[in-house]
Amino acid sequence: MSSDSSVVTAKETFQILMEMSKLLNTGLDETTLALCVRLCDNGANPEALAKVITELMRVKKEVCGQVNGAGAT
Amino acid sequence: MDASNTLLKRLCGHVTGASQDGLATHFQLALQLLNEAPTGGRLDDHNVVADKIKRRLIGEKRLEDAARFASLMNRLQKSAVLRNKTSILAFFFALTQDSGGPKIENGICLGPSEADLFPLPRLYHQPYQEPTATSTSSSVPQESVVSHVQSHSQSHSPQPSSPSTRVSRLAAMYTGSGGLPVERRQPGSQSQSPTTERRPFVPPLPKHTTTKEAMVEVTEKVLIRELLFVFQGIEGKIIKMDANKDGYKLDPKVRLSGSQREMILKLAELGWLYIQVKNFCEWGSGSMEHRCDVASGGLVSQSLVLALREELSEYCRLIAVLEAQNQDGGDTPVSESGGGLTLRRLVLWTLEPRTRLRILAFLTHAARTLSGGACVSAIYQHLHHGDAAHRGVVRRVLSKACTPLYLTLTQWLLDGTLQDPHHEFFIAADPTVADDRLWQDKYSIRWGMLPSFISKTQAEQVLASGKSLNFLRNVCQFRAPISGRDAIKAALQQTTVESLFSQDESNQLDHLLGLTFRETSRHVLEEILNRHQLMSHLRALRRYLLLEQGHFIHYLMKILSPELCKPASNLYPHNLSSLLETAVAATNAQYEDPDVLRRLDVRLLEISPGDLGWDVFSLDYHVDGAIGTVFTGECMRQYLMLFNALWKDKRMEMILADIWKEQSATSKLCRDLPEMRGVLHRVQLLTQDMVHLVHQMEYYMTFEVLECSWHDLTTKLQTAESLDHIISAHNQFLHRIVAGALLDAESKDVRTHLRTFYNLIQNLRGLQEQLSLAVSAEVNARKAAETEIKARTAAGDFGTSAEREEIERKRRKEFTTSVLPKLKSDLRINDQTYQDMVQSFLLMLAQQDDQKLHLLSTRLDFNEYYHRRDHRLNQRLTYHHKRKSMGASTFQG
Repeated sequence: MSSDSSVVTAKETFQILMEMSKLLNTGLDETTLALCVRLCDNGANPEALAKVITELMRVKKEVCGQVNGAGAT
Repeated sequence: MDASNTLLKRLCGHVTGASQDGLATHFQLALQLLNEAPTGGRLDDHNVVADKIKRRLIGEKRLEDAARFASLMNRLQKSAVLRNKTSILAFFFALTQDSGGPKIENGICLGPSEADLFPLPRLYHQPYQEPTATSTSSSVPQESVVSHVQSHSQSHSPQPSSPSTRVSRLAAMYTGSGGLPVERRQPGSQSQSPTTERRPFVPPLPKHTTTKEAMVEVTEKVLIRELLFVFQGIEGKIIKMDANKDGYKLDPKVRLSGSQREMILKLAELGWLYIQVKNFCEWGSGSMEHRCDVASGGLVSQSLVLALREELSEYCRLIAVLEAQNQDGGDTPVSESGGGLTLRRLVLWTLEPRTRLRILAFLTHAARTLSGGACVSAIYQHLHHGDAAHRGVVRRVLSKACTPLYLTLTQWLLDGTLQDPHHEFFIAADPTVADDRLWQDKYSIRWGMLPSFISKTQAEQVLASGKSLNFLRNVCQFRAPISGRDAIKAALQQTTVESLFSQDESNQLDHLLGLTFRETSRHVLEEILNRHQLMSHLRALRRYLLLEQGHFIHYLMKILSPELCKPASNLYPHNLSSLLETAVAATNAQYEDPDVLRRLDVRLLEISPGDLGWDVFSLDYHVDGAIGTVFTGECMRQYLMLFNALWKDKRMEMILADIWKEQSATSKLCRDLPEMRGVLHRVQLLTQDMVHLVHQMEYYMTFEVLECSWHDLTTKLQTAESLDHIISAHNQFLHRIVAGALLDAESKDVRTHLRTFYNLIQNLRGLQEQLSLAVSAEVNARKAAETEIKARTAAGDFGTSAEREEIERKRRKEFTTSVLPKLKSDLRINDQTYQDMVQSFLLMLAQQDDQKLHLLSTRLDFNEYYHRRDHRLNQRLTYHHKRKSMGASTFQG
């Protein structure tokens, strides 16, 4: 997806996207964002992808909660 | 494509942080989510999405962030790395949306006005999807889909042969058989369930490799066929109704180009709109017996449905033509240039009907819960549209919907009949109201049902016109046809249904309403003033109940007074009535109209223990029939109240006259009693004072109140244009008199004050009686002594003796020391009370706002005797002083 000539611009672009993501309080970290951007570029449905992300985050939260709960008991 | 799956796997792993075995379920879930959704959605432009995000930020009052976002966006636009900026932006947007902002429907952004007008989803504008992206794993061959579609279309048509099919389907639409939509739905859901079963979606291997084979090719002809069904609200095989989103969606497994999808969805909007309008029509007329008990419904809704049906049949005709076209070019493959239908042509040809259907859907949306006038008002709002075509459609529909209103209106204006079984008209009749309250209570304006194109004054004119007709028929018993209706009929012929709501263009309706109102009012006035002699009744009321006929009243009072001095319970109305007849026969009242004399009667008010005849006696005037509309029960109560007050004033005058008569007799006797002179003088002074007050009060009542009000009333009656004017003028007249006679609530304390004054007059009469008794006894005793002396002298005896002298001296001494001082002190008390009373009465008058009462107080205290006594009367009464003096006077009281 990125050739050598456009590395700098790609980095810049990614930074811009990261900033936007922060601005919009999406709560995505860099790796996730990068993966999502690539998925989008590959033609995934953005709404569905957003759903997936929220779903996964919810799962993670649940797992964390369980772990914490298990740790407490 | 494989890369996508790897990426997704990595994503799952990264976000959840789960190990390899746990990852599989997440991955499958994610994959399913992605696959279920239409893949690779592309919005029109990334600017649109960016705009939405910006608007969202601004909506959340984060203006700085919005500005920053805009600058970021600018920089992003310059970068050439990203292939699909829109997608990423949409992703951001969707993510923020999920994280709890206000939910905004995806798709085309509605303009604010349109959104307010019609808050319905716009799924038919959904972005079309990239056909090359991920798809389902279903592997239905192409032929089978086509055959599905064909069999489906046949299964929905009542008869299999296609020409008759069309006709019968159209016929079914017009008759609006309620079963149709259900029929339509069921096969759709059935056909949907196998497809969902067919893809339970747990793809064990990356499916994108097989996508190309799995996609189903559909020819344009099949699509058009589908669309023609969809246009009639019938679900197709490829284009399905999405019950969740309330819109049409395409079968994702069908392979179509982006533009094709877009066109199809755009065309499917027609079907959706058609269903909306049709549902409204069926709801509107489908089950009348059900709708009757619901508040909505009625003739207006029915005629609205009729109008919509006509529009729909026009639309169905177009579809029939399209279908015919499709059949004609059926066998030959669709060429780009030749005959037959193409998607593009369909889009072009349905452009105009689409806008029309959209307007109709707007109208149904606006009118769905309303009925009658409110419904018409809702439609009328849409008439102020800038687009002439839009206006045309609305005008057509509105004129149909207004037809029942127009018919009711004309009937009401011409005959006064009100046929409104569904309570849709803006005039309401209360059938429980009897004829005597017909004018006041029977008819009213139903403001909620008043169409917004009819103004308030017009509505009142309409109400008055029909009410007048009913009044003439029912109350005045006017049976003959009402003359002068030709002009109204002519004016009516010039108006149409459309002139109801196009008043800004022509004033025909206004002209009609005004003319009808004037004509009928004129009739009513003629009837009331000429046939029912309103003026003579008014005059009679004034003469007898407001005591204008002084001679008659005086005479009546004189012959009644022996009766009325009895306790109230000993009075018999028939005695009083015969006395009334005597009084009528003996005075000028005998020349009065016999109708008036017939109505004049005696009435005894409610008797409470201890009442004298004076307290309960009253004259009465019977009002019935048409004039009862002007002289209502409330009016007559006021008349009786006024009569009582005036009658009491009159009686006080009579008592004072009696006192004066006795005084002149007594003063003659007192020539020989020089010691009486002082007392007598004081009594005379007090009496004169009282006479002055009573006379001034009478003058005030007669000339300041009655005459002025009467003058106003007569001028108003001469210029009155309708019965309502007369009634209000008369009510105003009564109100003025009641206020002037100090009988209203505001001047209640003044009235009670006057009552104490009347008590003083009665006391004075008692005093005067004692006085004259004492004086006559003394004079008689002295005369007797003198005649005795004379008789003795004549007999040659001594006139008097020391013994007799002594007796005489003692008697005289007793008279001067005991009887006289008692009389004097009584008199002094009376005098003092009276003066205090007058003083506080003057203060009260000064506090009143009425100029006439100020004049009265000036006349009462013309030589400023009381002014000198009380400095408060000298000051100008400012508000502050008013309060102070009021406080002082209540303290005094």
